[in-house]
Amino acid sequence: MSGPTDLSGPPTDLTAIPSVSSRRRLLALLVDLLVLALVGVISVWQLGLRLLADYSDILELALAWLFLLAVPVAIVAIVLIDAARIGQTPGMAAVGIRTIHDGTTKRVLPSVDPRVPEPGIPALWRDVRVLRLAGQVLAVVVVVALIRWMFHNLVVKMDELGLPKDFNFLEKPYGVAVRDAYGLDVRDPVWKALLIGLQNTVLASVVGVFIATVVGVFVGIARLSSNWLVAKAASLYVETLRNIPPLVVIVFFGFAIFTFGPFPQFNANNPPWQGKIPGSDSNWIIVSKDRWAIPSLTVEGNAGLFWVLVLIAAMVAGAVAIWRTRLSNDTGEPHHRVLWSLGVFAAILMACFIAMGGPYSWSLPAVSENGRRVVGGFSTNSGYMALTLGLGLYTASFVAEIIRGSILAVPKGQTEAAYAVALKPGQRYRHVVLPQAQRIAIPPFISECANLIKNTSLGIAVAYPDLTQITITGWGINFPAPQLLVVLMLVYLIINFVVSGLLNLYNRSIQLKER
Amino acid sequence: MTATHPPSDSGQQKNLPPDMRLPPAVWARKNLFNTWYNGVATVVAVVVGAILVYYGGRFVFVTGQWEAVRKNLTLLMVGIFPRDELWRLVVQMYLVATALGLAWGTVTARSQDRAEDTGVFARLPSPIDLLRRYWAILLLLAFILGLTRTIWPTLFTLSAVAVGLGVRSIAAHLPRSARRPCWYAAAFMGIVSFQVVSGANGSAWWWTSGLFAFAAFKFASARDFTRLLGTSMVWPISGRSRPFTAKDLARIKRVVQILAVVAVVVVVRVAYSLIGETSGVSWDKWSGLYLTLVASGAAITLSFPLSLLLAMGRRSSLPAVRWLCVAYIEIFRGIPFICLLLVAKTFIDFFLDVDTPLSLITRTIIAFTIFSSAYLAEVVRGGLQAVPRGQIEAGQAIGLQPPGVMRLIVLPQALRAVIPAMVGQFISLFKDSSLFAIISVVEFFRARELIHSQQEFSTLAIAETLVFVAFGYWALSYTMSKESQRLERHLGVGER
Repeated sequence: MSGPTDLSGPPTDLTAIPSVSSRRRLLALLVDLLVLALVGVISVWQLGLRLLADYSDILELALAWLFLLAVPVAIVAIVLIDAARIGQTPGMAAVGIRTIHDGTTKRVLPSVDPRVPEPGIPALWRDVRVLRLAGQVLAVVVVVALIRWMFHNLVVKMDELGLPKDFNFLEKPYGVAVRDAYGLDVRDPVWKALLIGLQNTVLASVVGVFIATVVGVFVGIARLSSNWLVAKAASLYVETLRNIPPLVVIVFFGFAIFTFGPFPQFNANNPPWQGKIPGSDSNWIIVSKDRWAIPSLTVEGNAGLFWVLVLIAAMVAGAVAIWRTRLSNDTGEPHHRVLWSLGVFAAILMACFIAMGGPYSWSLPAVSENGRRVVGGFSTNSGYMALTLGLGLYTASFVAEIIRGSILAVPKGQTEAAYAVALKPGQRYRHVVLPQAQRIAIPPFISECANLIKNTSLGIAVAYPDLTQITITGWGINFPAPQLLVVLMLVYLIINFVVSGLLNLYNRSIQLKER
Repeated sequence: MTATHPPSDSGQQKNLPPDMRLPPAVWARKNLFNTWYNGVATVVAVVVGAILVYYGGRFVFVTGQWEAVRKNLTLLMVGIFPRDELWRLVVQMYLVATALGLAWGTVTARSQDRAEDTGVFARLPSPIDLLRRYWAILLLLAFILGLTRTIWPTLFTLSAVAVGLGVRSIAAHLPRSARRPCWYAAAFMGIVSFQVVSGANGSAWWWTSGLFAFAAFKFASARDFTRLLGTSMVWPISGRSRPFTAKDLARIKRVVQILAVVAVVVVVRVAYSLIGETSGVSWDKWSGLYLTLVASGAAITLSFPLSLLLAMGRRSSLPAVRWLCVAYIEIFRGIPFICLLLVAKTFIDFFLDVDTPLSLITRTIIAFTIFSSAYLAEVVRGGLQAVPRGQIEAGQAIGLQPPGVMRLIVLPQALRAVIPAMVGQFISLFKDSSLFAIISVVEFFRARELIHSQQEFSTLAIAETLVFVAFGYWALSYTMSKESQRLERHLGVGER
């Protein structure tokens, strides 16, 4: 047992240690028996209580048993198993006797002496593996029990209130008109309304992310401008917008700019402002307090075939890009793969478009006969405008900071190296700084996108019928709130995971490949 | 200047000695018109800026109907707080000013001491520095006080600031032994100030006894105190005449700690039962900007320990614990805060099996805490990851147990590294508190909506009240973010 680590003069010869008096060993045995007896009495008593109690639910009974039995069984098992395994019990530890056991020698020591080396086989309650397992089981049991308890309370309460506990309500008619959802009838089922809400959420998120990215990149680069005034203006933008709550920004756009702003009313007596295309009677834009419209593309008969061709053209363009890359790798001539593939893509599409006789045409917005609606074009309400503009500009301030930070984070040596090989400022940015800044910027940019998507739920403040708004209206008309909420949370979680998954994939593809 | 040399930074200007500063014309040519596109950008920026300044200035000084804000200022500040009880808030303002003054003074004194110990003297902030740091919040204060109808709020606020500054300068000159009592006194005043508002009740007892028990525990653990006890007392149980060993001292310490904590809790309990229930304004009535501040403060205080546990759990080597923490963090980070608030509003009671429903504000703060702890946990995790593995191994090498390694080695470094990020998180929490408005909790933003629910202001001055509220949020967040940047520089995060 003695080793080179025993520097403080430990009792290395175990046989030289006096043996433990039988009185103390008896005491240890008594302590063990007392513990076992106590555990036995308490668990039998408790079990009797549980068995007598009325449980409607088998799972609940099982849980109660698990809780009840886990601790006593563990105590009994530790006492018995350790007594058999290494000849030591908790009782012995309690009176200060310790067994040394390293697989061959076994010896009972009269005291817990810190100088004696640790036994080869530790007691169960000191064994790290056992403790780790016990800790995990305990954590899981506690969490499961907590969730179970809360769920039980919920079910009891829902029974009291007479709420249904299934998802059949999704098939019932929604019963409320949704703003701007002309395709949705009042008698359509709830899931269809939720789908419209999801569609609106996605629409707002996509346009919001677009605005945030464009404005954010612009402002972020402007903050680094060598022009003092531009840099100050950009930092004024960032410092202002990122310190105001997004809700306030959205409501500001919704009410101060649109609803109570300078734009004309739009009703039967009061036509909106219509921007005419010069030399014709049709509009390119319609502007009013609560409705804006722009031209849109309409689909002709063979548009489906055209989409297939777009897909094929994209594949061809990809192939061209790969070919150019290979060529460049082999021969060293400049690849220009973006130019080449875009050119091929555009050429194929142009040819197809002309050959098919134009599967798309423009639809121009116009005010309807009764002067209350917009016919044709792409029209949207002020809620949507306020939400996307407000969120987009708010998030842009964060994106700008990310862009600025990531450009500044590119080591100065890289820029200096670019000077050393005599790159022009544009080339320096394109080939040296931006590719590296991009790697730094992508992860925080992902989380900003996720934040923006979650923040589209603020559309409720400007009466934009996104998923959250549809859900809340739903439980206002007595559809069961817990189930609706489960649906809502699941949808947001899925959106979040999909978005962060996709962007993480992209992130992984551009990160440096290290060993 | 050729392309092979890096162009001079605009920051170089600052480094030049004063007599070499560029004359304005040269400066403008260098920083505004150095290329043709920069010249165009400057002209465009000047034109757009002039238009914005013109309309902005006209809005603020000429056309803005600030009467709507002036008439409803009390509503914005304290919402539906009973008007007869406003004196409680004034008393609280004085108490908080005193507590802040104490804390500030103690911090100043400590950094002064440290400077004396190390010989490195930090420059004390001059009034100009303070103005530069806090101009936004001072502007907000001036704006609010300028809109009041009577002189009293101004007088109270200014005298509270004077009290705070006075206490600060006293505390800055107290001896070292007074530092710890100063902190406790500041914390106690904070608790008392809330009791003045809400009335003494159960939760106040918990906070007070917790604080005092902590103080007693620390005092009983103090090394000098234990040694004094060990050498001067005849330990009644041991009955030994030999000098006390370190082990005996440790035992004595343990017993004294327990006795001290129990005694203090009993004393506080007795004191509270002697005082009895005092009247107050229940926190269902707290609202306006006041609620925004209190709720975000409460949420960050409550979520901090929770987030610490979650972050450590997420870094744990036990897979089950790790996955539970990951699930909690990712789920609550994945759903919008509004969803959680709606749960809080409609059926948080359903989960908890309570007889009387919790008040809306309590439920909101529960949801807020759950939400913020998930975000804060990620911030703390970043700090934990930033501690080099060698530190943990060094801790293990000197024989520390895992909790000891965590408490004495990892956490101090990790938390120091993430203080600025935590301030950033606090700012975003502060901004998120505006979402309370959606579930009709009357915080700052909802108080503004209440203005327009009155007949008189239903369509009047929409932009004015919005700008006022936005300015309120902006001034507070901006000051905090500037402070966090200063803290970051001060702590030297990222440099070491």
